Amino acid sequence: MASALDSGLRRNDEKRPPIALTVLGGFLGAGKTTLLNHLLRAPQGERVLVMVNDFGAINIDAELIAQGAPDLPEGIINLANGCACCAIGGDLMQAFLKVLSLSEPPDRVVVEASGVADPARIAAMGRSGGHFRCDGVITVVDAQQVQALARDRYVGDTVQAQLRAADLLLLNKTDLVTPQALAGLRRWLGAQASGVPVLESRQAEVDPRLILGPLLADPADAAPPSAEPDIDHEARFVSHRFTTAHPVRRVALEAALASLPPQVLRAKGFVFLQGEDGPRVLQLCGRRWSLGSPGAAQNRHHTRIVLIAARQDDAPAFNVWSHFEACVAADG
Amino acid sequence: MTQPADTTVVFQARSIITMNPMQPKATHVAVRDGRVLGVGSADELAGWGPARLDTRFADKVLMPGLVEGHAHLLDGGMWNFIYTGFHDRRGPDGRLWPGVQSFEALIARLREAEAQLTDPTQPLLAWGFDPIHFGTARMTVQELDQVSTTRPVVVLHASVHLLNVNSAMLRRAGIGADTETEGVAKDAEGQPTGELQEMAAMFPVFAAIGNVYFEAGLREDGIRNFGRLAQLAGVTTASDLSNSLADEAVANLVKVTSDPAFPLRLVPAYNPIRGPAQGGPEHVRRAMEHNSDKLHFGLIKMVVDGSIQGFTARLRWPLYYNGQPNGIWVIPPQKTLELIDTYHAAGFTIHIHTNGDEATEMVLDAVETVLRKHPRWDHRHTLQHCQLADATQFKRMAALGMAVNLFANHLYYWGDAHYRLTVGPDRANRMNAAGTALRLGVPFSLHSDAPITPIAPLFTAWCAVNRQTASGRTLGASERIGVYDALHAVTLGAAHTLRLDHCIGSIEVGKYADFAVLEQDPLEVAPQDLRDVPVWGTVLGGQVFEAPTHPR
Repeated sequence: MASALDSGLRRNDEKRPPIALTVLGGFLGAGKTTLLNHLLRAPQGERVLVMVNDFGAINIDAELIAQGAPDLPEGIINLANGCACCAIGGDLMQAFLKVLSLSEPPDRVVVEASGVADPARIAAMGRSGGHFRCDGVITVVDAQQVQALARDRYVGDTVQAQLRAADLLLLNKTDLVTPQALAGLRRWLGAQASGVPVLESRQAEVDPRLILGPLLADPADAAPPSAEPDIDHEARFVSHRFTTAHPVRRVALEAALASLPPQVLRAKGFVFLQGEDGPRVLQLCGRRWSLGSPGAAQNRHHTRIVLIAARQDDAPAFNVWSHFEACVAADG
Repeated sequence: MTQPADTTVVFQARSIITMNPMQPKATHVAVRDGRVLGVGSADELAGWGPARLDTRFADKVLMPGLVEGHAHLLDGGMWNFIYTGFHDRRGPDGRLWPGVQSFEALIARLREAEAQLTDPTQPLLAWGFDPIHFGTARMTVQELDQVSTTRPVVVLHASVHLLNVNSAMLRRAGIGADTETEGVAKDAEGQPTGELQEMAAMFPVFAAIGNVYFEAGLREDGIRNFGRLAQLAGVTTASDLSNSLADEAVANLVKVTSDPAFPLRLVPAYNPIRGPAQGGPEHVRRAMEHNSDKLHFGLIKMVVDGSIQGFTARLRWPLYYNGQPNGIWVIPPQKTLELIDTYHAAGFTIHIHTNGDEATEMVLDAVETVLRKHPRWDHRHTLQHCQLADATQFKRMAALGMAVNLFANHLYYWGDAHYRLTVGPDRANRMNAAGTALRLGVPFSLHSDAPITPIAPLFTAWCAVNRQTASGRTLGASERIGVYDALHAVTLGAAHTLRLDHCIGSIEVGKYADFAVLEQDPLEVAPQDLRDVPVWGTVLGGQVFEAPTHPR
């Protein structure tokens, strides 16, 4: 009996920050691999490890993953075993255990779910015991096929569940449908996955910050506060910053996050709550957000939040300062 | 030319059931070079020349070595851990582990095991716990803390979808009142109860102890234990229905099966989804170069849907009896078609797991499509489990030349739950319809899916003969089959699906001398008692393997 346990218990004592987890879902042919390659082609300065739950050959450009973990020369873990989300003790669990055992764990794990997987089940791993932190479920949608697939005799319910599981939907291949059809699709998606923001793309070309979350430098070197939003080159998305040296009131912060206008798609931040010396990681994807456990204590309690919103000229302007003002405690 | 006497052995038995209709019964079987030289009376065998007469089975009954058409090597690995299942079960050393039928019995068993561990940090790991039999009572840290307050204790449920742990393990895994993971059960005060449901909740425990349960079966000692469990049940050939055929796995299998003391022929089936990306038919052919009389690569295995009791099987309308949503596809239907096409065209026999009747329907469609494209005789593609198929689907299997391997043990172990909860009376009554398969001429076998249920083909045959649930209810009396037909299913029937009926499955001239040695004649005991026929051991290729007996 002892032989099975030669390694004994691994120590969980050393406190490592949770590894960000991004799950890409969507049926076969939606463009998940194209999106993954697109993300890897525009590195965000993170060490990314990719898990592919695909059948047969892996179509990821190997050169793009050279930055992967040193213990895994290719930076890919192939989740071969079909529907990884439900295999207890199977490849997905084995893969997550392997990531934790790496001497230099990655900053982020991106899982490309199989075409029939429920991405929500994989994302649940990111809410598990502090090892991983789910950074969002993005379901890629094939504009041409999705409505027929959602009616399919065998896979209709699977496709619908993938839409419902999403924090963000990426409506892909929009160039292959007419503008009228696209308008109809938007309404249809709104009914299928109520309240879930919909991004649009042609060949899964989308701002990586929308999929992986905005970049955030170390809280110690906070940028000077700026009331002017940054406007990206295509002017389709606007980035907002909120910073304060005062402590943040949790209840007010939760209320502010729950009442964000629909054009806000993503947010990320380091937040010093009232009475705490270590920053918590704030993460928001679509309508779902989380606030991690406090990190190591720091001298400067500098709260910093970056938000990305869709630019909507017809929507009321979003003023980040007035929206978060009430969160700031009068004094620390 | 005459052979020296020591190369031919004649076994004398009280009775020999041959499963060969030409000569259904005999008293003597002659064995040379590991194969059957002749079957009949002592006089009829005399013409083969001098032989050594072996009379040790003179008061026993021989039948063809039993064939388990659907099991997993994982079964051998589980015995590295403490058995805590509800039903009695025999370990590889022959020890009978009585079923654990109360929390008190569970605590007592774990305490006994705990007392034998010397390293105080080594976790105590158990398996097979099945709370479905305990009504609404749930196990908590209260019970497991009585085993130890310092040593981590982990109890894996029979479903493998849940764990119970003690307080020491909760601490080690970092699970506390502030853990918000879905599936971490909590009491009224918000403290975790120690029950962890599904992978996300269980993961911190495995992060601490490693993937121990699932790795144990792949190692050499796991394969050896699997061989012993099979031998205890009278099994001489078993499949391992899902193998990656990775180099290391193949090397372990070659090593273990080439040991003359290993009492089993193994048939590992390649699962293309588990294999390397560059796999394919060539990968299987490379493994087949290692084939021997005790190791047979060449089958393909695919899993299409989940399980009925886990509500993950794909059902046709009206879906689940208790209103659960339909189950999951493990492989997209389009991909299933492509894989069947690839391996069918390459000439392989494909075993396809379909629990629900929608999954069965989809695969029947796929096989029909592929056959139209590549007509092929005697392909023997086999539906595995195929628990909910109706008569129309069996008719299609017959028309398409397919075989089926039914999960008869389910009738006993989960039959009551199927009737009450999962599929309701109509479909519970038609589950694992061996009677329909027989009437419509679909070649069929019956299986255990060990470790899901214990490997024991006589028990499995009993299930198809009696169709009785654990509570004593009879499910679909018209689907019952006779004892002879059930024995055929667990010998020649399984051999057919494994494409080995030319060399195993009956006691017949030219075939391997593989026998199950029984204390009673299964054709003479009452059908109700079939499961209780004691197994003395086996003969494999003429070599005698007495089952280990363990002091009670």
